Amino acid sequence: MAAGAPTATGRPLAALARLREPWSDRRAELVLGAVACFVLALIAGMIVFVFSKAWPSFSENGLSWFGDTGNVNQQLDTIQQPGTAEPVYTFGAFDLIWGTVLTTGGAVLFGIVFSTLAAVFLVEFAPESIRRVLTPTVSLLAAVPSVIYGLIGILVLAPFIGKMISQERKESVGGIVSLTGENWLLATFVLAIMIIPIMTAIIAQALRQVPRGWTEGAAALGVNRWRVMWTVSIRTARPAIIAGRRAGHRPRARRGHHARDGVRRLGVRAEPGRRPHVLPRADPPARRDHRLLPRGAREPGDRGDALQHRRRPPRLRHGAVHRRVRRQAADEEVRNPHLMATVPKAPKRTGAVESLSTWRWTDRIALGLCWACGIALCLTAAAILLYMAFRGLQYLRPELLFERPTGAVDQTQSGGILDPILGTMLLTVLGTAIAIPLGVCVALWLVEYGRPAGLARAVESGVEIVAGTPSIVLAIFGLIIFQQSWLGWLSFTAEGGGVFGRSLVNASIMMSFIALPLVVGATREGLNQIPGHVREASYALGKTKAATIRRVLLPAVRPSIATGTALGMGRIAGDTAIVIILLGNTLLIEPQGDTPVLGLLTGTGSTLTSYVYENSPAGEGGAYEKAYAAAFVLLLVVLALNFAVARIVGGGTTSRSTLWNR
Amino acid sequence: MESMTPPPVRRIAADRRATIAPQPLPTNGSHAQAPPAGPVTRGSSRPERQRVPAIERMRTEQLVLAYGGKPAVKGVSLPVRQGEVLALIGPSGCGKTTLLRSLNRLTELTPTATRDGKIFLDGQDIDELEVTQLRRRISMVFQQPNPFPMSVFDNVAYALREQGKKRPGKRELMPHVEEALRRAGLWDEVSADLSHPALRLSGGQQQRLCIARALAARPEVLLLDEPCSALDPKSTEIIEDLIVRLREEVAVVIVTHNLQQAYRVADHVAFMYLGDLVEYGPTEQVFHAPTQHRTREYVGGAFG
Ligand SMILES: Nc1ncnc2c1ncn2[C@@H]1O[C@H](COP(=O)(O)OP(=O)(O)O)[C@@H](O)[C@H]1O
Ligand SMILES: [Mg+2]
Repeated sequence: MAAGAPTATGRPLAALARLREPWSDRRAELVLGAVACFVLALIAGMIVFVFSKAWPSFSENGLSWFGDTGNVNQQLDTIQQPGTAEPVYTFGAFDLIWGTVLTTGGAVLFGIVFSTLAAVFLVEFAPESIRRVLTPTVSLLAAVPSVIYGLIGILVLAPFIGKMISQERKESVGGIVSLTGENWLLATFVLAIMIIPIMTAIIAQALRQVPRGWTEGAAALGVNRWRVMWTVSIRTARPAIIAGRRAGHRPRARRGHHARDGVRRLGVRAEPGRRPHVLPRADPPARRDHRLLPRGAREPGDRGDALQHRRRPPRLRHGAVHRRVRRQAADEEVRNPHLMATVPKAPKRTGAVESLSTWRWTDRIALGLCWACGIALCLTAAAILLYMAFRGLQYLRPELLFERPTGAVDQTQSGGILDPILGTMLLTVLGTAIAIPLGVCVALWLVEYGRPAGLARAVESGVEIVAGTPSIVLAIFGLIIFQQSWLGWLSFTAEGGGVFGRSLVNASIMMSFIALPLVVGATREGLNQIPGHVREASYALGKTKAATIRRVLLPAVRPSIATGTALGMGRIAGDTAIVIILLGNTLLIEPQGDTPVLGLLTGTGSTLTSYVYENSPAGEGGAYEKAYAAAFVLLLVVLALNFAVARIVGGGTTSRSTLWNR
Repeated sequence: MESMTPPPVRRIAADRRATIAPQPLPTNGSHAQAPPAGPVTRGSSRPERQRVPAIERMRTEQLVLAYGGKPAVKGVSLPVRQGEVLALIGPSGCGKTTLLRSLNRLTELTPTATRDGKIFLDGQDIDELEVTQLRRRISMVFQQPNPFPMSVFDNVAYALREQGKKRPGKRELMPHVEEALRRAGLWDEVSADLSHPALRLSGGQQQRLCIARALAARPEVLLLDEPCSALDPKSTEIIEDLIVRLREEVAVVIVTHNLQQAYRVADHVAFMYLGDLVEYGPTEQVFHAPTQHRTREYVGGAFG
């Protein structure tokens, strides 16, 4: 049955359905499409707008923009101070670019190698007991907000490295350069530690999704496990490994009944240039597969014996024979007792006698590295989590949660963390409240309509661009836009007419862009999982497409939406840049004016992340005890959200979404 | 038969291969399309083939396999002979695939699978063999064609490249690749462009490529799990002829759903039912004079 024309033949029925359903197909498509276009326009608008704002800086400097002249801070100041005179545009980004390349490049290079080895360990070589602990730990670490890693870096590692630098060396530079231990190496190292869990989770997922047919096929040829990994799995997963960041959004897959067809799937994967799509998942594959796959199917793609036979022309006799055989089996047992006499006694699991002596020495080294990385990951994970728990329990007292903070520098005087907690909650709730309807509509339109194809692709790319944009860039986007005078009512306008541009709504709106791709991705994934025949069944009952979406599809993807939402909440709660730049970063929640709700919304505040940042040596306070306490609360929030995701993913059958967030 | 020279005779027809390889397809009339009415067509006139000396290469003894404690194969004892094709038949879910996969210990890749009983290769318990060495000697072709996402050449050369302690060069590999492709009856179709991506071949070609890939490593036992279930009749025919030819050099075990196919290619047939080995015997006997009731019902149903 053609999915697009359910009502073509049944006019009266369709009319009836239309009576009962307020939404006609046409209107549903228009509304969903409009939302998708709206989101696209916002994203495109942001890009164009920021580019136009950045243009003076480029045109002023020409190619020397990439040089090292000018003063970075000068220009940043003119952006951040609204209403000042002509901005100064002489600017050389060399130091910034070089810094980015140095830290990111170093961290990514180290991270890719380390994470690949750790993921191979996790998927293939880890003993079952380690695997069971390490898999959820890695996804938890992947969700830990970056500010916590920064806190550990600056409070633990920097002094440590600072101590390693000898007194003579410190004196030799005569105090001109302060060798505190805060340096490129440390930044790179902390960045690497930060990205390794994320990358490991993604790569492990990609490795698990390599079709079993390939890995088993290689194993069946007598190739050892490392070489199977190296020549087949890693090769297949390579695009996913390189494009690690973009995971979480699966470009348009054919939905429904084809999705699990093995041959087709292999075919799709084989197309050159198509990356295998990865969606990190919480639950171990074994459990998932057995739950979701038809009986007898051993891998996604294998449709199980029953289905496979159904595809062939029916052999009528087979069933009859089968029944007859079963009926007579009982008689025969009596006559041939020896046939059934061999009742198995609890068989044992046979272990593979695997001898490294046949391995190439390069493989043996690689295996050693694999174990080393795996163990290192275990130790790092344990160290970070235990350290944070220890510090948190040490400094966190219940009254902290209910006291408002004060501006005092003295740690005993600075009050509790009530306002940051409220700030985190408000921001998270508002941000996701904006993201959910938009994200769900975009996903519905993409999967169920998606016409015209060009527009759909543009929306897809727009969402992916947002997903790949660092939150600090989003924050700057937001600041420039919300400082426009016609958006002044969203924050407050100073005497001179300068718009402050920082408020709870503004921050929430930009935060919703962080959650949006996750909601869209998870919902699409959920929709793609719903077999086509479910939709067809609904059409066959005379329901319109719009009614099908409302009554069948939306309830079915609710777990997916919940997953996306929880992931988005985790990322919003963990974000620092947008809070500091767009929320005003005032210690207390400071409403604007006297109107109750509106005042709060247009007012400023802080969150746990900015509180941690400000109380670490990187910020102003240096109140590291408070920072640890707040970081611990933040960790608990993320842990709870992570747990919620795991529950949703594990509990729902339609949702196969991700535990990965940041 | 039992009195034949025991192992260590590994490859009997090593020097005869070249003459066998490029043989054109048999063209006798019985190979033409089957009329849809009669279930047995070319199978009913089982092609008379030259007898090949048979040597026992493998044996299972009271083999029990279970998934998560639930038995799938319940105490099966079977010989596998070189020079013969052994077909495993039975309704789906009766444990054929499980039994086959246990022969080269692929079941160990399934975390829940457990095993009891013994499997011998040339009189040696396979648990005592190094697992990659074992799988080099006992190769397997799967139900779904699963060529790697590489070129045709790389696919066939894969085992040779990855098995040894050092990587042979392309020039060294070429004769082996060509020979394997010839034996699998694929050479004429792919020789023009060996760098063609394997996944762009047709299903039948892919499956023959998988057979070539398995043969390139010179296995002593070849396991085939419903190799033709996803293929068209023409490709099926080519593969069946290939299996019959191969049996002189390697011991072949084929799992099949298709009783006519079992009848056409097998010398011995084992009928399994719900994990039990119900009947094992020469093909003619199993199909025409089965001793067990259940076999008669199952086989009789298929032959009308
Ligand atoms: N990976 C697995 N996990 C659990 N049960 C399995 C698995 N593979 C097969 N089984 C079960 O073992 C029995 C035999 O399966 P199989 O060997 O595939 O049968 P056949 O190939 O004869 O159709 C079936 O009942 C099947 O459900
Ligand atoms: Mg099977």
